Amino acid sequence: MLGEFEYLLLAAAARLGDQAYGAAIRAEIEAATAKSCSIGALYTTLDRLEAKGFLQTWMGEATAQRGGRAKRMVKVSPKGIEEAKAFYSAVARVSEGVAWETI
Amino acid sequence: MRCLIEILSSLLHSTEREAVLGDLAEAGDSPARSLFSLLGLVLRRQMQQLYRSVPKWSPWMALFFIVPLGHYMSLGVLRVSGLFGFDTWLIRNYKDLDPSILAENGFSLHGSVIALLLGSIILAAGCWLSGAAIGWLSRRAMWFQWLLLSVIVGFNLAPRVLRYGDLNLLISLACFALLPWFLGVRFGRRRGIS
Repeated sequence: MLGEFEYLLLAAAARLGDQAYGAAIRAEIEAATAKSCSIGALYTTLDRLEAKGFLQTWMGEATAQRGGRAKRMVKVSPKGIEEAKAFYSAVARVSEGVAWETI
Repeated sequence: MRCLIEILSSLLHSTEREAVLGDLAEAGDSPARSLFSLLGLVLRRQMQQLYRSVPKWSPWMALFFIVPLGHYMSLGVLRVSGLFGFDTWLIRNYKDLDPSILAENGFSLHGSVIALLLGSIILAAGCWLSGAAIGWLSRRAMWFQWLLLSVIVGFNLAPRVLRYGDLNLLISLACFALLPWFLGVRFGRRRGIS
């Protein structure tokens, strides 16, 4: 089962599609959670997910906006999609019938 | 601040350094926040490296730190059995003793029971911890410690047991040192690294 941050990262990468790379994923997570996302957490989680075969990463092209530095591109693998789907289903199932406003 | 970021990022792998510095530049964070983010990543990477290197130095650590500690523990059994000899005797013969004489000399049944219990728990916990550390760190060091313990038992305890029939020493060694040590080793090996 994925962890909460792992799911956030996979979902952000899947949402960004071909434009998924470190800074974009970080911005996506920060916008969704309204919390800061540390580079350390992002890169170590990327490594962990890649080791588990849930995503692939490779060095992309450099842009002037990044001071001529290359991007670490990310693509969610079919195995990663399955894991993210399983996590999302579990969250949806366990949340069914729960009215948070009244608690 | 930029200079610090450059120095700190040099601790990262070249490809990761490239991607991270690019991400920081693109995010447009303040230099202080960039530095803090980078520091977090560098610390995580250093910790990962340290953890990966544990199997290389763990047998030496086990040999030079944990084995002597285990040796000290086994000697501790001998000390404890001597230190608490009077408490054991007092508990066994309490019915035949005059409590007022004991109280005059600062002894009591509950005091002896507590002292004996605490001593045994501390010793057992120490032996369990030593066994767990050995089991976790190195299998070879575990056998070395076992050999050391056998030598101590063989040369120190066996003659006393044979000559004086002093079985209490052997029983206390088994209950409060060997058994916790073995349980600790089993626990450590399950979570072990070598």
